[in-house]
Amino acid sequence: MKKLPAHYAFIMPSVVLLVLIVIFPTVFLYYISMTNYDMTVGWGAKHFVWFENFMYLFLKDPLFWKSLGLTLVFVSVSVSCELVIGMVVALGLSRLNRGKRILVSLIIIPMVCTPSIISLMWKLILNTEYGVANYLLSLLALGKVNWLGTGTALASVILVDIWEWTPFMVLMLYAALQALPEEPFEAAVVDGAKKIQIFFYITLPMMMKLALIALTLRLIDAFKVFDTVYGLTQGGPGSATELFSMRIYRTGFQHSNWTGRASAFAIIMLLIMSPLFLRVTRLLRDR
Amino acid sequence: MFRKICLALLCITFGMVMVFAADTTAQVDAWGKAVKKTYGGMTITIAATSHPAADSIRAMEKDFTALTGIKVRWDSMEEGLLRQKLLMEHQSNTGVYDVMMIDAFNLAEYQPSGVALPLKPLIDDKKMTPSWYDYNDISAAFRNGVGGYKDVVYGIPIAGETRFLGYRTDLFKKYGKQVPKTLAEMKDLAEFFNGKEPGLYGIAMRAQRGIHFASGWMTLMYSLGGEFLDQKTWEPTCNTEGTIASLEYYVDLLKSAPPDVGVYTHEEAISAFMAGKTAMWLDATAIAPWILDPSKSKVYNKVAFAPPPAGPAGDFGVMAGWSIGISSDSSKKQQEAAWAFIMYMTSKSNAKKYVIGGGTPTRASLANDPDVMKAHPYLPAMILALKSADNLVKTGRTWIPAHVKAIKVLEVAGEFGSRVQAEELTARDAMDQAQAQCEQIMAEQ
Repeated sequence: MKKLPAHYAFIMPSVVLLVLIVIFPTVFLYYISMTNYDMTVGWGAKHFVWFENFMYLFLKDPLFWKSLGLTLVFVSVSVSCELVIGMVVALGLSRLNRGKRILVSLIIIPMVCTPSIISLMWKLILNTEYGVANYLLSLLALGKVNWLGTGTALASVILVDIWEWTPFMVLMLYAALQALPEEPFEAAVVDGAKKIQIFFYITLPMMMKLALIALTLRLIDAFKVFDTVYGLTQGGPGSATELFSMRIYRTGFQHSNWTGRASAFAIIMLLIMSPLFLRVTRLLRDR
Repeated sequence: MFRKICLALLCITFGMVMVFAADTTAQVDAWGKAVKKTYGGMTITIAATSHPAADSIRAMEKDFTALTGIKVRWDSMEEGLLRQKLLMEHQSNTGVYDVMMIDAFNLAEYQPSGVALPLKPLIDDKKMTPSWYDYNDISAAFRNGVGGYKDVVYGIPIAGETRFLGYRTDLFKKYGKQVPKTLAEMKDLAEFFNGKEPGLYGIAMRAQRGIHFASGWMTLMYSLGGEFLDQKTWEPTCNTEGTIASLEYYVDLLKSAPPDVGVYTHEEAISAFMAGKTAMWLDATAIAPWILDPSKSKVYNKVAFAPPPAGPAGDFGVMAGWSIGISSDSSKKQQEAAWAFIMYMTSKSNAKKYVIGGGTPTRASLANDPDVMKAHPYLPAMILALKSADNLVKTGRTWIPAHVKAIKVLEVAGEFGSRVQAEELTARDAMDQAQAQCEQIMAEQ
């Protein structure tokens, strides 16, 4: 019998772990998505429905396409704002001579808090009647804002996400700025380049790769945001904040219990996000 | 002579009560010793939610552990999460929880896969349940309506609750208003008080999308002639004239609520009322103690309670609540230790302590107890509200339809109801769509 190469023994624990926590659940997800499994009825009562769950979502679910649209709006607005604000703050931080450490420590507080706690905290802050946000507005003699109303709830969810995740962008971009070599900047100054020219022609291109990684990671994270919406609005009022992951949760767990249908939903989400995963992998490999 | 006889009778009665009390205490102590011998040192885990009933039980936990040697571990979570966790743990057969709080809303869902253990064998076993426990003293309406489903007992009621109206006595007096007797009067009053004073709204109720919206709507729905399911044929009835009219009424009523009512659960609704932001509040009796608690409420000394107003279709109140049961997945010995815990906490001998600690009275023997009345001044209004709940039972219906798919139907109705409140759909369009989905749900095997 041919002896297996020695390195197989070393990689085997990782492979076993990968199969247990990644491959098996994913295969299981595909399997469940083709059944009518319902947690309240039990495992024994399920049967194969093949692609019926997918057809239901595409053709019959009244909120599938709307939740996809809302998620795209949420992702594009929140991540762009986080990127721009993150870049501004990171540039500001890199120019500071004193107090950088304290400032960075303070900035990362929202990011290290538990998202569900953050959403409950913001639900209180944004309460129209006894929330701090409207109290502060009243001090400025501005009227009450119905932060979690039909027309404003999505903007409020975006606001909370920006507050929570801009520090991530700041940290990533600040790290990228710190890693840049000094010589090109010194040469540009000698050649008489303006600050804006230095930023667009030297700083930005040189930190582009890390910025793209940060952006893609945030895109993935924002696409599957759940805790914030769950705590703040539960997808309401109406369907104003019914983002994709909230819709999956509602379908699979919140009284509907259509676990099979929710699994189909999750697979669609996985397929949408796969190109982003591939992008990050490629960027990391090229770096 | 007559006075002497009366005095003698009084002494005899007092003596008998004292002897009975002493006898019961001795029996409980003897039971505690026996339990300690068999189950002492064991730990039971409780799946619970934030509720005054859970707080009251928790306050008695030390006495229980001292008496029986059984340690108690609590896992408290939000009630929606509790339901999912219990279902998932049962599907995985983990046996993580021994004792669980069961919302009467969810019993129909727990029953088919056997999440909870049927308790009748334990109740009937004289060794496990001594006579001083007195199961039959628990009001029959709660025993069957809250702790039982399809004639099987799955839980011991700890919060038999209904819904009633809380109103601000100062505002009603100031503007010469009377307590509403009909739903039409209540809506008029809500509109009257809405904006009457700076920062004041008419009413606070729950209206967060999904089950919360459905639950708030159902408080009034039957009295307005609506229902989600025909409880004889189990056909969905979401788009009947009565159901549509009840939704239109509820959405109209919510126009006199704070503007972000669309994200209100029972917690935000009661918080708005306790903060003095609304003139009325219509919700669960179980959380009424919060309103009367000076450390929580700004209006604790200027509120009164009344049964829910009647509607054009009748006077149909709400019967809901929580019970405490045993997981079918834990081991037999754990289940027996869990039963010892439940029995101690819900026994007749501890009933008064439980109620004064914030729990809801579920035992008939406490109905007229002066100490209990003092601890819960809203009880007379609650008893009237329970009579309204009886009216619904007399028509052969239960407030939560006793069908395994009822919660799914409520979830769908609550989702579409919320979309009407958010002005995304008209009531008729929404209910037509809800009807189609509910028909599909009921037809699924």
